Amino acid sequence: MAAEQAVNLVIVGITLGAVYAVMALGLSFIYGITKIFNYAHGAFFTWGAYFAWMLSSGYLHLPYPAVVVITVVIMFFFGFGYEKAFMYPLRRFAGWDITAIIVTLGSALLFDNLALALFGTRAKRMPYLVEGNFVVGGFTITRHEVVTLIIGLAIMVLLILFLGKVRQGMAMKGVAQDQTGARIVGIPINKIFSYTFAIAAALAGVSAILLAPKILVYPTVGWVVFIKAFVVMVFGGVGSIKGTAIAAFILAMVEAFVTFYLGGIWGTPIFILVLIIMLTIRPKGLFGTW
Amino acid sequence: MKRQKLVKLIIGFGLVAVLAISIPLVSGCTSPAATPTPEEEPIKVGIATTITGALADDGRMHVRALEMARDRINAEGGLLGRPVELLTADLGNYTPTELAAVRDTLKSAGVDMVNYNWAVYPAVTDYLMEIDSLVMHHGWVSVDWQEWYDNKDSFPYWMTLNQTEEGYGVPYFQALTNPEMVTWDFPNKKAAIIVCDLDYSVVQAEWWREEAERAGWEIVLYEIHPVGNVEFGAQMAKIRQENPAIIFMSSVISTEVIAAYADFLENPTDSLFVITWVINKPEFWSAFGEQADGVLGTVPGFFMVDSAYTGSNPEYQTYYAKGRAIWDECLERYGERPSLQTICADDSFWVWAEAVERVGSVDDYDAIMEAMFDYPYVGATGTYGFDRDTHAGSYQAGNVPLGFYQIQGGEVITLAVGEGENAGKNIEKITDFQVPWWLE
Repeated sequence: MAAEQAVNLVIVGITLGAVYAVMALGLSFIYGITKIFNYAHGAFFTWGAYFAWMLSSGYLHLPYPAVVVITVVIMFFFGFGYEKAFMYPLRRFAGWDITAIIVTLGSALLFDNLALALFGTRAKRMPYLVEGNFVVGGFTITRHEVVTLIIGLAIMVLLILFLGKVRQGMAMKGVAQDQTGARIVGIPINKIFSYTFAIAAALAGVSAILLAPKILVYPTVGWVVFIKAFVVMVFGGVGSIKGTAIAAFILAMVEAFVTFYLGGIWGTPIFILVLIIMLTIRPKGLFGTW
Repeated sequence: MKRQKLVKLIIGFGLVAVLAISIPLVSGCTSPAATPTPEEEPIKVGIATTITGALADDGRMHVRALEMARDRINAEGGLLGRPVELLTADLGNYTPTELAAVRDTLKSAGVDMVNYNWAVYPAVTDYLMEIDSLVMHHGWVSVDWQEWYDNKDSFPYWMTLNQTEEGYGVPYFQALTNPEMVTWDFPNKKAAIIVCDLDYSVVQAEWWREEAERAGWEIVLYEIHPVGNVEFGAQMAKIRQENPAIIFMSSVISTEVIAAYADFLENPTDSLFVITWVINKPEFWSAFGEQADGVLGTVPGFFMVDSAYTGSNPEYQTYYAKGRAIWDECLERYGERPSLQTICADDSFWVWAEAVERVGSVDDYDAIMEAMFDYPYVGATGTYGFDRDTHAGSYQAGNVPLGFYQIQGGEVITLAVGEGENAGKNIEKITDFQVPWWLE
């Protein structure tokens, strides 16, 4: 394999890995803390992408930094509102966690179809975060990929710092470890749940901004990313940020190299096969706790 | 008590979800006649098309064509003095449930004709044959046609404008390498082929590849990807390494082509970016605007779009005039220009309507088909003389021209038109080729 090909593939893998990681972190974050498997996470991605599209090339044509900030804020409140509207009412009932999973699935379909009704079937295209290329030692790397990687890594670091150093983050970790115990020591569980969904939705919004310029915006786009995020989350170990990040890069790299050598039709099957092998060897994933 | 509340809550959410799902489906399901004549029983035309799903853009264009045709014919007193009424059924993503619903909807409505765009899934043909009404298929899909042909004894009432998509293969490669049309010195004789794993696209790519290899070209990448794929990073990595003179993308799914082209634009190679049918879809133009300039495509059938036909061929002049009228009407009525789907749908409607008028009956299918066999129809995409064995109005580019296009200034411009067995070699040049901006 020529060096340029290898470098190109590694860049593809790393960039995709960064986006998958951000997306999967949101999914893993919700499950790890609230124990809800959120089927609507793909819809969060879709709506994040539509908000970003409306703010950028769709209607308002705002500069990208503004698009990123506003989308993240909108998605934060979107996630917060989602939890309050769909999850909070359920928690008063016994066996709510199972019901919640069904509701997340139903609401995912609801949001997909609302997007279809409001924006139509036609795919929207968003411009790249930054246009142009860097040429480094004979290798060409697009600026968008570099920015994607930087943002992806920055978010992971921020999330680790948030959970380890910030009071609210530590409270979230407490809830993740033992909800009853957390309640006894006075941690406001309801608030933690809402913030967890809010942060996860904001993460989905960021991944939408990073990935939408490449894979377009259409009503069901979230499912494409959701399935990969799910595999990444399980591979890395549910609830583990470190595991999710490492899994994202491993799987994205596998996908890039498999697509290159065996063809695109093998990308997803091998992706899933690697997961099955991992679960056979280590059922709780790379760094999982269950 | 708590359980009852929970059940109520779940039912409530369920209802909201069902309502949301229903909105887009219901919105595309009915289409009343424009000026019905109350005393006459309407003639019902069923539209089997993709209102939702990956090919929804085609479905929208299809429905528009028939709405315009319906209003035109009703304004002139209807067909056989009866108003024409449309009933649209959504093929969606061609799941068995959706196909059964289309069959049942159109059958129970008692439609007199089913106007069907194309599906590239044999199962759709099977379901539509069970409606037991005359089916008018827009054509250029051998998979659809073959499924009917293999079952023609059990259901003869199937007509198609064209039986094969071969035009996208051999003639297209010939035209691309015809210096009369593409006035660019290829830096090498290497081509990369990216193919969607639908039979339809694979068939086209195979023909294209065979012709390229016959001409001494090296295929440096032949990549089949699953339907709906929108991530082409690894394929582009290989293409960037090989730097082929042509990247040929054989796919009918706009999102795939848009995603691949967007990936290509990140770091373009010294290649022509060549696509097929998607060049005529507004979804593609609107995604890129002038960034799409330079992309090449082909569409079977005479389809003069943004550029006027100024040549001397009288048949082409007729096709152009008819197509232009539909173009202008579509633009005025819907604020959007038509795609070839619209023009083909119009032709397939009028082939049938003309035959019905000739026969004087809407339900004597044998007589209607005889009329189609006996009297060629001159439409906006070409002249259709139906074959008694294949029930096809044309074969390859036999009597229907192929158009070769390039996006220039954000518009789809006709570079050349070819016809007959050597449609890619014996071309009539219309507009000068422009070297794509990324090659300048």
